[in-house]
Amino acid sequence: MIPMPTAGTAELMRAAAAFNTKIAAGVTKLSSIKDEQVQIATTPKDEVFHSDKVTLYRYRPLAERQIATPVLIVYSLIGRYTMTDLQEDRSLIRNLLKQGLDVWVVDWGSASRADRYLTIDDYVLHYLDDCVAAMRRGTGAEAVNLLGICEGGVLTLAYAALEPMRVKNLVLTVTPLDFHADEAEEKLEHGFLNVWTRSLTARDVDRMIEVWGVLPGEFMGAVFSMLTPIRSITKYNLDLLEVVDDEPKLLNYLRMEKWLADRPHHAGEAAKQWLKDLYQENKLIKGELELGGRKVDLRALTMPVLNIYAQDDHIIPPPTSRALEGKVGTRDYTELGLPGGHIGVFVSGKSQGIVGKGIVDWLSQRDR
Amino acid sequence: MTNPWEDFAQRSRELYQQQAELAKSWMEGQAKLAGTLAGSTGQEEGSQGQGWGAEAAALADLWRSWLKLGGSFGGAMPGLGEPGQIAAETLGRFLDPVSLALVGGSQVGETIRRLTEGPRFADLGAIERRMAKLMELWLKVQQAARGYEAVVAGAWAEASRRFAQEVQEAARAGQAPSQPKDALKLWLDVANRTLLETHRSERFLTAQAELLRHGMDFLLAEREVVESLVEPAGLPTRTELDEVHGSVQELKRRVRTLEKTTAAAQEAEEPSTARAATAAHKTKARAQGAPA
Repeated sequence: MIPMPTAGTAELMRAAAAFNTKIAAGVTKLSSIKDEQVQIATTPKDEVFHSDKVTLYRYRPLAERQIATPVLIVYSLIGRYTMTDLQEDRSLIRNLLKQGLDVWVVDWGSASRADRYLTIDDYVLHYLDDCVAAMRRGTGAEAVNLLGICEGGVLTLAYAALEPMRVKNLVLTVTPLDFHADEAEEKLEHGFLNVWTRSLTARDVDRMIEVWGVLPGEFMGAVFSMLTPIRSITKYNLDLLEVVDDEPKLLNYLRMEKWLADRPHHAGEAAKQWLKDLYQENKLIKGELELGGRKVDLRALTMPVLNIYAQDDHIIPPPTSRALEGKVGTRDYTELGLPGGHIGVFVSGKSQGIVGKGIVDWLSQRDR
Repeated sequence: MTNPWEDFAQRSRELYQQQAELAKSWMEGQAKLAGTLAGSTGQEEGSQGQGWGAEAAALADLWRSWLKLGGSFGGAMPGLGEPGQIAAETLGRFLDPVSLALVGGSQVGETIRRLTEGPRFADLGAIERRMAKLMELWLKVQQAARGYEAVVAGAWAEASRRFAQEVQEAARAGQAPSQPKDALKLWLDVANRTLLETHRSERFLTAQAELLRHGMDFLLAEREVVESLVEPAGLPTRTELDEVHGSVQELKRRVRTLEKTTAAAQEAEEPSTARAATAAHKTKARAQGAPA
């Protein structure tokens, strides 16, 4: 028999009553919150160009320009770039703007079944190339700085390797590079995504895309929930209760929920490349990845490279990110491990300013 | 045709509402009783009497909090209040925690099931042979779903066993959690560890892949049947639409390649113009405050 907690009966009842009161107040509070109170990605920006579902934006400056070369933020195809500008006091974008960067961002849009045949080749060699061309036209810069996040890091790396003359500096953040290096990771909660993807066959991946035409955002959300099983269960009861009577914290929570709920589908053929060529066959680090009929050669990365990883990243375990040392074609290669998880490193209160400062300090030394 | 899942959900909602009404009536009665008890025992003298009075008062507070809680849920039900969309969705999850889905067979299994189950068979018409094949595939999906759920249920059972063991060991060492919060934390830690181990196990990964595999097989076979029905009527099929999307994508690639080739050729013809434009941009950037 399990021994039960030994708190007194009255104490337990008082605790239960306090608990109920908190829930009641929380429910009332949640019922009163309007959508306009839960806005994300509000930093002012202007659309520069639009192609299919892809949009390039340029942010309005918040400080005098300190770094001449413009920087393009490239997010993953699995989530949305709005995470980089979650709210005013938790915004990588604002941190960069306040330090005098000329910041641009590409919004990949929301892929649908009609985008089934979009490949990573298309994203890198057409859309990303169009964005870089627009930035060069708009600023007169011969080459731009690229800042890739997660899958966006792989896209920027591939572009930089294929078009090195157009990239001045390459910044990778929480980017998977050696997709099998998770096997060296000892933490139980790290790297399940790699294990899960390898548990599927190439045929399984093909059949999923044949059926759905895309890799559904809802499906990926369910897979992500397996990475933190108890957190996924307790976030709408215990976690929510923690913040429900504190309006600023509750609004932070809801903004994150808004970002999580906006999980786009991943274009079909690009998802096949992502899961099979990269997660299963690990072609990038082996130098076997081909885009547009050309090999993505890491030695072609002759520009300075900053590789930022999150020390407690359960989605992209640090060993999978820390894989470029000695493999790139530049001696100016820097690795920077920062405290936090995959998303927390950008949005947590503690990390604010750390990522942005690290990037700006590094870029400012290479802006000649 | 009635969607059995919607029907089931509707019946569950009705049942829940009836139970909520019943519980509310019962609690109101109990609150009155507790109030009476609190009033009577509170007048008693002596230490034992004071103890009873404190517990009865706490009980009365607890009932009142339940009643208030019931009222707040009622006010927050769809149609009664008008919360914003994000808040309302969060509230919905709050009232219907994902834990129920996970305990019953996991949120992931449910997601796969929803994504893999298409229209009901009756929509397809009676093509016996194909229908029989479809039925066979559907049964395989169900079988795989049961296998997957069994693995998940096994993980929860294992988590419970480990929790009991850890609590007993702690109790023997005189360190059993004395507060509910401590016990809950221990349970969540144990359950998290057990589920993570399960998710990485061959048994779990195989069961989940099987569920996915059979689901995909079923949906593709179902599409085949549907297409065989609509094609003779001249209606477009999924396969045809996919072909069109493939062709459009290929055309876009060719147009872009052509545009870039043309632009590169023009740039090569007018190098001096391009250099002049670049120099002008640099001057402008310096004028805007960028360092030289």
